[in-house]
Amino acid sequence: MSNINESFPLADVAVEEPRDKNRLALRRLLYGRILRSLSVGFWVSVIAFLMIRLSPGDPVQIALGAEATEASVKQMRHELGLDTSIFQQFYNFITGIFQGDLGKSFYSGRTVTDIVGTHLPVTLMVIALSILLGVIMAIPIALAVALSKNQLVTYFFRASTSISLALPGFFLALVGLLYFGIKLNWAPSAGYEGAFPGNLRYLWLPALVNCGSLVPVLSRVLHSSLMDTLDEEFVETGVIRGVSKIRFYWSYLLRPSLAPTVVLLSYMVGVLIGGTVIMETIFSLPGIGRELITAVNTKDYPVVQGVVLIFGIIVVFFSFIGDLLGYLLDRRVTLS
Amino acid sequence: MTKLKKNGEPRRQVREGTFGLYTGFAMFGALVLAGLIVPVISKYDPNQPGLPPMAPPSRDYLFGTDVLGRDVFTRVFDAVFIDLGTALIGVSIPLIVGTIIGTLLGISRNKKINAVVGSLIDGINAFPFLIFVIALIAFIGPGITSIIFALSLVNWARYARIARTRAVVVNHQGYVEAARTLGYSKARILFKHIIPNVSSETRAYALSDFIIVIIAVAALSFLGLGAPPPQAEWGAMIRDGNQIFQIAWWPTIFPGLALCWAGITVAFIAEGLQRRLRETNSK
Amino acid sequence: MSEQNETLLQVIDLKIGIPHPRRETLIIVDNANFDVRSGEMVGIVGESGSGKTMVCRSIIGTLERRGAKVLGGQVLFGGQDLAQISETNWKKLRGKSIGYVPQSALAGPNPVLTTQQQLAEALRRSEAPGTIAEQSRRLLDLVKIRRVDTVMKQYPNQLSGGMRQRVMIACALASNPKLLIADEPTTGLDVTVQSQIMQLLQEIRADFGTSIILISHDLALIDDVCDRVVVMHAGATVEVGSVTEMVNPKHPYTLALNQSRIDIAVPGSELVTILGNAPSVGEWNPGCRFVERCTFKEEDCKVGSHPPLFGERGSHQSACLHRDKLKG
Repeated sequence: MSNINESFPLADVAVEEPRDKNRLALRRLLYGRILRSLSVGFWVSVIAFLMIRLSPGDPVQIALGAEATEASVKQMRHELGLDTSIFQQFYNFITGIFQGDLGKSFYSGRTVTDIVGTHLPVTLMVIALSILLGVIMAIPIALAVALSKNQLVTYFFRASTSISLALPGFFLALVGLLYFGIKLNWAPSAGYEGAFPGNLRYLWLPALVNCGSLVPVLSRVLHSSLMDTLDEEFVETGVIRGVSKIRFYWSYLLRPSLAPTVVLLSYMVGVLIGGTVIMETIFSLPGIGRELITAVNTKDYPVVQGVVLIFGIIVVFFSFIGDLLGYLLDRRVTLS
Repeated sequence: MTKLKKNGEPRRQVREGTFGLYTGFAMFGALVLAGLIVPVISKYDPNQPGLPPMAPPSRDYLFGTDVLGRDVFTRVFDAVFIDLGTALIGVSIPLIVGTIIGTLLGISRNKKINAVVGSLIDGINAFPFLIFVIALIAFIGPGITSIIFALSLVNWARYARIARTRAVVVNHQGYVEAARTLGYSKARILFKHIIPNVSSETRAYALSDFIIVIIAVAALSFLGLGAPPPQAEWGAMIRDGNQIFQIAWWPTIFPGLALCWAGITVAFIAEGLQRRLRETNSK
Repeated sequence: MSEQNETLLQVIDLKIGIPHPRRETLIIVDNANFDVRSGEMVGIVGESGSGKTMVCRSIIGTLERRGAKVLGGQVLFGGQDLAQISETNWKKLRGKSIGYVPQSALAGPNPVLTTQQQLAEALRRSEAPGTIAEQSRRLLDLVKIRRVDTVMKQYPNQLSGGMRQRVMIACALASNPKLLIADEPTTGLDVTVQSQIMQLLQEIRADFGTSIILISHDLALIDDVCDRVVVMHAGATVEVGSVTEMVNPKHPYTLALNQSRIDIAVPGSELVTILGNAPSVGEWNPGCRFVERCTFKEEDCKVGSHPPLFGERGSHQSACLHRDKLKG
């Protein structure tokens, strides 16, 4: 071989590759995303902070009721730190967040951190189950439609996904609750049990209703990525190498198509949270969404503020994870 | 590749999405029309109780009566305007505000403003839409105007993000550069050349957003944050009906179906228009 | 160069179409004819849409997933007619004696697999001695990739275009194929990288006696590296001959291709371009499909079916009715 190398000196020019392009790209993605998440997180806390201050009427007056004496109002303002400058208040608010102090409920006197700690797991469980169910349904649907050569299947797919997206989840939940919960008794209409396998009985229907908006979005995006992938040259090499069916579907079709879906899924967490709040109210689940609605109806401002902040942070966190996961699945994903 | 006939003329074919578009328009129009006519010709007052309560659907009461003895048929169509109107305003304000702010950001060369407002937009968009609206209503109190206000305050940021991305592209397009060379005033370039091209994209998004907002308005009322009683409103009707759902299905199902009807017809229209847009763009 | 004369692959009167449930079948290749002998490098040249890629897909058995089908003719390889093989039998055959280097270096390798994983997949059924890792190293060595350890762990998007194509060639060589098909392997690469890849292909042929089909729209490139040339136009082979024979083309299309070459144009003279565009698939005219663009056409060119290749198989063949006019 050595003499061939000498006669073809050109053949070695292209061999130089930056040694750690790999690590650099990952680091740049990480830094970029962390920076973005921090700036978004900053605004999330500013908005949550301002909400309570910009509301018409004095929150303290509202909390204490109309008969409150001037002294007690003053006392509470001091307790809440509302008698300092707005910048001081914001500073206290931010430092409070980092110390896990989100204030106290006007009524129960429980700390917001405590309320969130008790009720958030239920909400997260609903969301996790929705995502799990959604992915389990969306992948086979998108694959089947993409691989089908029948134009009618694609048409039916488009029509049914856009119809499903246009249906009000809360109405479906009510009908579902009446049918599955009361007529068939497959799902309890009230009550909850916290332990793992038992809680599924309470959670499957709310998660399924959430999927009504999740599955159409996911399967549509996945379907269009799959169609793009099917047109790609490299699929040919998979066929030629005669790789096993499972490997072919995973490495040559799904994995190169999955990144946009994963990133989108992480952004859909916000939509899922909205849906879950309504589901918790309908199915009487002791999640944080039901706490939020109660707090809204009783004007329990610190709880509303705290819950909003927590949800904002959750969304920022998930989109960070989603971007990272998308990159790990497919290195073509870049930071825009 | 367009198929050509032997003599070079393009084959005449029905434009894609036309069927869905027309069906959507017809069905949506029917709902609006019913919303106009039914409250006027109906024998019953939508908000006045007094009929036999919970009467099942019959010749007299097409959709039955609710727990207070009001005609569900009249109420469902009486609610058309409050529901669709709220959603329409709730989409239009953010559309206009977001498009203008986003466009200005996209063509502005001020990096500081861009960075600050840009991250504010990202910040607002980071909140789950419905949660943010619910929280705002908590502070400003329930009601239809509150819903519109909260929707506007939250949703403009989504339009602004779309508009900004698009405006950056449009700003460097040939026809804008050309207008600049011709010495047209900045305002004229902005309103005649840039905004129309940016808004084609935000308007397309507004249509699919309209579906989400119709459902959100009803959902907020369902949660008790919207129209106060006795106002007929689909979400509120579903909420009231749900108390007696096991005994009488009609006060819940009919407003629900009306809501589904509104959502699906708008979805048909949106899908049809999107296909058309895609078809026009690919030519 | 051993056994230059043994025929390895024969494509005879191949006809490929895309069936459609409601409309009539769209014919994309008709009258494709050529041979490939052992250790020979054959170039297939033609414009886009001339059916070159489809012909090679019929050889590697990936027509079906693009919705196309062999409608007639034969593809003889190692005593088997590849045109008649069912999908199940293809599974046993593919990736064994025919290697394939895909069209574009940028989209060729699977973006989610590292070089190591790609090679391991290609080597799955290898019977050569040594572990997969050892064989992978040997293959990368063969395509002259240095710093093998780094490249092994890298994803395609971390490699340059030339490197990606080297990896693809390494994968194609994994099964020690008798025939290597390279479909425009240098599209989108720099000229210097292009010549490196071409040199690599030539070395592979010299070292292993592998027959190579090189598909390209660049006649100059094919002229440089190939032994024989197959000219395709609108789904048909219009001329076949050795590189030396092609200096005096017997088909007006080849003549036009030759005249439009930039590399041999006389400085100062006008550059000749070929009249019009190739007829689109599905809109082929009756008679010779080149007739609309031909400067030698006569009335009999416009009727009947597309002319077959005249002359003895293996010699310099042309599909022109008036090929004698071109000799002077």
